[in-house]
Amino acid sequence: MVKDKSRKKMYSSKEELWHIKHEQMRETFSKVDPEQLRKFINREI
Amino acid sequence: MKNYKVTADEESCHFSFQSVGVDLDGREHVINKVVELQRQTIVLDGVELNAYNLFLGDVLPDGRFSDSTRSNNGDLDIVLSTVAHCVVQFFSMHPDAIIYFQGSDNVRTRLYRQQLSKSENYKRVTDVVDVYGISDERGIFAYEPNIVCKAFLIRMKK
Repeated sequence: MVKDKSRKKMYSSKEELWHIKHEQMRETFSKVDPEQLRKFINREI
Repeated sequence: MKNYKVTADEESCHFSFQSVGVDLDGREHVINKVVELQRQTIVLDGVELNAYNLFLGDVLPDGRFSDSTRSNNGDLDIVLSTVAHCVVQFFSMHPDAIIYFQGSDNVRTRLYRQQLSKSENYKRVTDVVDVYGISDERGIFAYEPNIVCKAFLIRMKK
């Protein structure tokens, strides 16, 4: 069954898309401890 | 698991495929899908993470992109299996890369989490890659099925 329940979040360009995706990523990392991020990068987690 | 046929660019950072469902009249309903990965940087107190942000979305008839259209095409398992195939192909070209993946909203992220947490999917994925979750409460942690998180980090096993 196909229903068109489109919601807002359309991107008219790749630039807009990646700008919003990057903002979303930054928000998600905003509460991450930098030391924990360092450990993740170094495969210590 | 069945996959859709995928077209990829030379760098394996852009993939496209067609999701095929059936509408109320029994007619074939085709949605053009894209999987794209773009390298993006996060810096926290001088600690720099370079990760490939993964976008899964639809190419709309007017050329715009959407990652929030509810297509209800009845093929979620096939679509996500196809995305997993794209990720494997990406890692074959970028074995040291880290992928960041988050749904366009909490509902969609939960949907992806539920799919990943299915035992057969979880085993198939974690045989090849390490999966981490990110949450406000725990920060970055080695992902386990059904644990709530806002986003995922994925990298090849060493």
